Amino acid sequence: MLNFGKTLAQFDQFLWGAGVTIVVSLLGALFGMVVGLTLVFLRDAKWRPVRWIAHLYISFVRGTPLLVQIFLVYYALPGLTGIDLAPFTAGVLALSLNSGAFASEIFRAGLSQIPPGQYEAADSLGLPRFITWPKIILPQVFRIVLPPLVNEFTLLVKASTLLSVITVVDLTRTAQNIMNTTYRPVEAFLMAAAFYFVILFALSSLTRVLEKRNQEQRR
Amino acid sequence: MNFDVNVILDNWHYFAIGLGKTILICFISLPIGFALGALLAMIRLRGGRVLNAAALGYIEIIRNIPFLVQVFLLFFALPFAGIRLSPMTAGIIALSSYGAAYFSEIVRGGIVSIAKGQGEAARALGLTYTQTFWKVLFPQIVGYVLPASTNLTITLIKESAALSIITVGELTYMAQDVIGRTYAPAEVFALLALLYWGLTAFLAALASRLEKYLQPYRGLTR
Repeated sequence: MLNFGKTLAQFDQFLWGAGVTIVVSLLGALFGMVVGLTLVFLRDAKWRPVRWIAHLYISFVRGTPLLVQIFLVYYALPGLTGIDLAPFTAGVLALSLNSGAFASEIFRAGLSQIPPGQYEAADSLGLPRFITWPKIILPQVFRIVLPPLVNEFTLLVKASTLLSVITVVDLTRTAQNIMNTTYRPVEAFLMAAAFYFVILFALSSLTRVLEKRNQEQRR
Repeated sequence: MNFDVNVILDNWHYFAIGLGKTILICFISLPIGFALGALLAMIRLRGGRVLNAAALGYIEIIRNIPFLVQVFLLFFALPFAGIRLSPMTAGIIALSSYGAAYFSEIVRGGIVSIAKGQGEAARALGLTYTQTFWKVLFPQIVGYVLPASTNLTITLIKESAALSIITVGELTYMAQDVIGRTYAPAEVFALLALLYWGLTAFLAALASRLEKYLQPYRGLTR
C-alpha cells in the first residue's frame, strides 16, 4: 500500500526540483519570445529565401517531437559543430528554440487582430513610426497575446519534464532520483504529479481569468 | 563534421520497425481516445451533477499533469496493483487516456459552438430530425472538430516519442538503440526528426483534403 513516509522526508528536494522546473521553463519562455519575435520579422522579410527559412523552421519545430529536438541539441550538436553544452544549457536552448516557433504564431495572430485603422489614425495624427509602435500598436497586441503566452508557458512547464532525460534535475528527475533511493516509485511520482498539478492548475486558471478579462473589455 | 549515411542504410529495418510501431500505437490509441473523449463530452453536456463533476475532475487532472509523469505513474503503479502489462500496452493506455481528456474538450467545444438557433431554424423550415442533424448540425460540428482533432493527433504522435523512456520499442526507442551500437547520434537523430516531420506533414495534408471533401462549400460561405 501507499506509504509516503520516506518520500515526504525528501520534501526539500521536491521543492528544489519544482524550482528548477520553473526556472528552466521561464528561461525557455523568455528566450522563446525573443526567437518568436525574430521569426515574426523574418516571415515578413523582403528577401524570399529568408521567409522560406523561417517558414521551414516553424514547420520543423511543430512537426517533430520535442524529445527528438532535445536529443538533437544535446547529442547531435556536439558531433556536428563541436559545441558541447551542459544539460541545463542544452535544455534551455532546446526549449527556447521550440517555444519560439509557437510564440511567433501567437505574435502573428496578435498583430493580425489590430485593425488597419489604428495605423492610419496614428499616421493622420502625424505620429512617427517609433511612437506609433510602442505607444499605439504594441500595448494592444500585448493585451491580445498575454493569455495565449501564459498558455504557452503552461505547455513549456509540461514539456520541460522531457529534460529529465538529459539529466536536468527538474521535478521529474527528482522523482526518479528519490524513487531510486526509497524504492517507492508510485509515491515519488504521485508527489511530483501533485507539485505539477498545483503549478499547472494555477497557470491554466490564470489563462482563463486573462481570457475572460479580454472578452469583457472587448464588449 | 562528418556525416555517415551508411549508418542509416545499414540499419534501415530498425527505423522501419520503429516507425511501424509508432504508427500502430497511434492508430490504436487515437480512436480509443476519441471515443472516450466523445463519451466524456456527452457526460459533461448531459450527465447529472455527480457524473459531470467526475468527468471534469478527470479532464483537469489529465490536463494539468505532464504526459511523462502520467506514463511513469501508470508504468510503476500498475505492477503495485498486481497488474502486469507490457510497456507497449501501458503506453497505449497512457496515450488513450491522455488523448481522451483533450478530445473531450474539442468535441464539447464543437457541440457548444453551434448556436441553438441552427437546429431550431432547421426544424422551423420543416426538416426532419435526421435531416437537421446530418445536413445542418453535423457539417458544422465537423468544421470545428476536424481541424482541432488534426492538431491534437499530431500532438499525440509527438507525445508518443516519450514512450521510448519506458522502453516501448517505437521509433525514438529504436533510434536510440541504433545509436547504442553505432555511436552516430547526429545521423540517426537527423533521420529520426525527418521521419516524424514526414509523418506529421503527411497527416496534416491528408486532414486538409478530408476537410475540403467534407465541406466543399465552406470557402463560399465566407
